[in-house]
Parts: sequence; C-alpha cells; structure tokens
Amino acid sequence: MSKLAELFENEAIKDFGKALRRALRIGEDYSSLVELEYVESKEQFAEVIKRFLRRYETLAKKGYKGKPLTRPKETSLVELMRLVDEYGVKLVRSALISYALVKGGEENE
Amino acid sequence: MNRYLVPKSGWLFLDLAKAYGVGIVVHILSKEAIIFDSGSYYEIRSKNEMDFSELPKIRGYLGVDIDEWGTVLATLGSKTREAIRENMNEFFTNEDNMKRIFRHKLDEKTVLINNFQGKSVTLPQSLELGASKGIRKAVLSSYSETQVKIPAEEFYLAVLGAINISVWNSSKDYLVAVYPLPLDTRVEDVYDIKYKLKKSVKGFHRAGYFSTVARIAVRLVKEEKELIRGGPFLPKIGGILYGVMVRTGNQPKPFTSGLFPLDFLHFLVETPEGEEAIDKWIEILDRTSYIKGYEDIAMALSKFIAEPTLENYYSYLQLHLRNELRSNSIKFGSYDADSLLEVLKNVEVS
Repeated sequence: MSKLAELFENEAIKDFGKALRRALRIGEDYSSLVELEYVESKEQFAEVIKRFLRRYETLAKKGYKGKPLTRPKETSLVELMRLVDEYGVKLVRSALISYALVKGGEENE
Repeated sequence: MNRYLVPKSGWLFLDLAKAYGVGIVVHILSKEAIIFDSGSYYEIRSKNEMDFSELPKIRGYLGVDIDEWGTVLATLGSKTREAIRENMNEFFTNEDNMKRIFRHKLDEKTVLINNFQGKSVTLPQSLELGASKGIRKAVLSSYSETQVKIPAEEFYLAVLGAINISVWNSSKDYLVAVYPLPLDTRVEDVYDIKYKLKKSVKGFHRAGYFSTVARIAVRLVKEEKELIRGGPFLPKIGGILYGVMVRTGNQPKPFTSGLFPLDFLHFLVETPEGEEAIDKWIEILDRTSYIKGYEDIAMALSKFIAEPTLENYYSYLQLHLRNELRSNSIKFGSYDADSLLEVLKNVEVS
C-alpha cells in the first residue's frame, strides 16, 4: 500500500478531511482550500489549520439543517501534526484534500 | 504446440502489425492463435495444424469495407490503396505463397517467419509511426532521405495486421493510432476488443491525442475484464503503442509516438471498487471529449492514469475539486471512499 493510501485511512486525516469537505460544501470555505494548496512548511501548515479551525467553528455553531456540525477532535489535531513530521506536508495535504472529493452527506457521519 | 516466430527488426509498429498479420493467418488456418511478445521476437502459438484449404476465408479480413485501409495507408492515394488490396487478396489466397512464408522450419513444430523473397516495396510512414521520413545518408554534403524498402510479403502481412487490429481516431489536425501490445493473447480477443473500442470510442478528444489514447486505454481495460469468464483477472494487453500523424497540406506526416502503460488500470480493474474509479474516468473522458472548457481536467487525468505519481494525482485532484465547487460547471461527481482508496494505493510517492 502506498504512503498516500496509508494516510487516507488514518483516523486523524479522516476526521479533518471530512471537516474540510463540510467546510467546502456547506460553508463554501474556499480560502482554506487555497491556503492549503500553497503550504510548503510545517509552520505554514499549522497556521493554515489554525485559521481553518477558526472558520470551521463559526460554521459548526451555525450548524446544518438545524443540527450542529461535528468538530475535529483535539487528539486528531495532535496526530495530524505528527503525521506532517513523519510524511511531510505534501502527502498529508493530498490525503486531506482527497476527502473533499469523497461522497458523503454534508451532515455529520 | 506449433510455434511461429516473427523476428523483430526494431521498427516497433511494423513488427507488431506483422506479428498480428501472421497471427490472423494462423488463426484462420488453424482456428487458434495465441500471440505474445518474447523480447527479440513475437511468438504465435496454435495447438492445431494449419489447413490451407481455409485460405479463401482470409478475404473476410481484407474487405473493402474496412475503414482502416484509409488510415493505415493514409500516405498513399486511393487508387494505390485499392491496388494493394487487390494484390493482397491475390497473395493471401495463393496456397504456394502462403506455404512459402511458413517454409522455414527450425524444428518439426517451430517455424521462423523470415522467408520473404518477393520484390521490395516502399514502407509507408503511416505503417511505421515511430519512424522518421526516411533514412539519412551519413555524409552531410550529400544529404538526402531515401525511402525505406521492405519485401512485399512482409508489407502485406503488416497491412493485414494493422487494418484489423489498430484503432484510429482523427481530428482535423491529427490522426492517432493505437496498437494493443499482446500478452499471451488470443488473436480473436484482440480483434474483438478492437471492434468494441471502435464502436465505443468515437472521435478525437478535445484535449488532444494523449487524452484520446487515455480514453481508449480505460475502455480497453474494461473490455479485457469482459473477456475473463470466471476466475481471477489476468491482463491480456500489456500496454498501448500509440502513434500520431499530423495532417499537412499534402499527405499526413508522423508527429510522435509512445507507449501508454496499462499497469495502473490493470491493478484497479481487479477489484469492484477500483473498477468504479475506472467507470468514473470513462465518464469524465467521454464527456470532456466534446464539451469545451474541461480540457485541463481531461489532460491532468490522462497524465495521472499513464503515470500515477503524487504530483500528477494532485494536479488532477485540484482541477476536479475546483470544478465540483464551481457554480456553473458540469459536475463529474465525487468518489466512494473505498473506490478512491484503491486509486491511492497505487500512487507512487518519491
């Protein structure tokens, strides 16, 4: 199995990936997508994730069809940064963005 | 098992077309022909002996209704093509001619196909798309490009193979030909695949010749899967040899050629989840082939299918996703997670 497939199956990536999908599909948060595309270092990645979480918080509070949206877990955030150390920004970013092209209801699943 | 060995000369398209030509003759005369590439030669196998009384059946493979006469011999005029077709009909239905071709026995069951003694004819560029215009003379002061000549029997066998096996698509600027590379493949299976592809892949892709080849490749792998009747999937076609000609004011000229690998698609087609991804790609490549404004997605996807690297995946991913998020675009839809996972399993990370 390739490293990208390993990352795609990682729970932290799934957690953040699904949140990114909701942010794009429900919240039209294209800024996070564009920022992710330009990330080159771990520090930049951390900064982009921080901004993404801030925007996502607004969306989560607002909810979707009357229900609040699930937020990524704190443990996932720690794991995500560890994965960046282990695999590098490009691979983690590709795995994360892949979830935006995965089918699934925009609600929590 | 009877074996017929077709030595390679180094002209990729000519060698392959000739091997298919021999394969078709063996298939007609012995009701079986399995072809494979063994490196320095192509080998055609049949467990049956050849029955030369079946020779008239070859006319079915030389019919005037075969469209590929006009493309395989695109650099020749229609009268010359018709003369060649008539000569070929005469040549292939003459028992003495055919017995001569199969005369050089290495042992009781092995025949070397190299007994060509007839007149020489010019090798048309459209039959050897990997070649340049001709062969340059070594001394620059007397620079010229002479035409390549090959024995007529060799030429006829190659034309027979090419018109029946190659798939051609054309636009107002280009002609693209694809030849499936055999991998222990029954000649009749390659023949069936060719006719199914001809029906399912119509026209030239807007994004250019590479996407045209990719579009043929994804369909071809699905057709290969159809040939497996029970049991695990085993690839029948090793890759696609493609050649492109560019139209000029006069006759078309060779433009480029290459090999489109099928390994990634073969990996995917083994599982239902992977096959789902291929179905999506067929849809994307089909729809983008005639709608303006989606050439970038088609091109990125074609490159990714041929070379599944992280960079190529990322280019395709970005373009597909941006298209999904655009408000006024034609949507190609998302993937099931399991289906995308199968794709990602094969992405090479350097």
